[in-house]
Amino acid sequence: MDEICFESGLSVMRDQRLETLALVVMGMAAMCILYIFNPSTSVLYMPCPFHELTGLECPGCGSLRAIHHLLHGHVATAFVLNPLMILVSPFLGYSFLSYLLVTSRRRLLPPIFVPAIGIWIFLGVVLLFWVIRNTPAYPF
Amino acid sequence: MFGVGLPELIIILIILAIPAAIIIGIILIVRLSADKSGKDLRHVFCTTCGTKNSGSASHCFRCGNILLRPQHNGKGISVGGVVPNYLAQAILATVFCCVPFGIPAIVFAAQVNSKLEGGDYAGAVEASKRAKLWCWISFGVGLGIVVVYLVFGLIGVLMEGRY
Repeated sequence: MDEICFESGLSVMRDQRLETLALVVMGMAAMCILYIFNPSTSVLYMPCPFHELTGLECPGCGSLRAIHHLLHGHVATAFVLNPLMILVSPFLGYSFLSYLLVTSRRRLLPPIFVPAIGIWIFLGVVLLFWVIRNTPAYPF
Repeated sequence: MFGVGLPELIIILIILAIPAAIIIGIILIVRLSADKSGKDLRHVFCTTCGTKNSGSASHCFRCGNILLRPQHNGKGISVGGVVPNYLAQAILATVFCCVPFGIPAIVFAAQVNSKLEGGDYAGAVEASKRAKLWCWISFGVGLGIVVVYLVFGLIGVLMEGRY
């Protein structure tokens, strides 16, 4: 399969517009469902398997609820539910946008090259977040 | 108990399943026909202005810039010495798949950029492959759990009439 590069977004030969369209349609369907049904009251969403097994929260716990509230404009509530998700969402959004533009319009956005030390720090933050949110010291 | 009954569940399944099935079907058909005719190799897109050029052109006819050629390296196509680190996918896997397999993906994403900064191109390509592999493992396990959950949920609904 082709190596589409999120960071550089250089051209590949094969036309990927159909896959991109499929991705966008599915993403929008997921957003609609997330907008309509609240994950904390609806049974449609599965509980986090890690949380079910251990009773502890994983770094991703609360992200669906956070997106539900984000879509309704409740940024503060979303941040309390999963601060990590909210903090990385601009990066994810930019990556997705640059992927969209490369595959659909063959346009390049300025690439984000995160220095390696930045990714290691991010990894540390994720692991630290995982531990701290399961201790009484966690503020939310 | 959760305020969600059978009708709601069926509506959601229909909403999800019909477009997904149509889209996957179209993709498969287009993929198969494209593979046979090889028509997708007839064009190359300019990375500077986005113009579609003929496959044999060396320079873009609109802006005159050199057209970058993807290089076939057996399995896939890598472009112009850039190694993807799959950081965005690794974050998605960590946050949404809720399976700790996203963590190794982030580790290998960091290794890609470490090795690129150190000039170790071959090592970076190797780490890139592993990052991609762990993203797929995480995605696959997450998807598997979701499918199992949906199947059991549906059985529960059908047995009791109400979950």
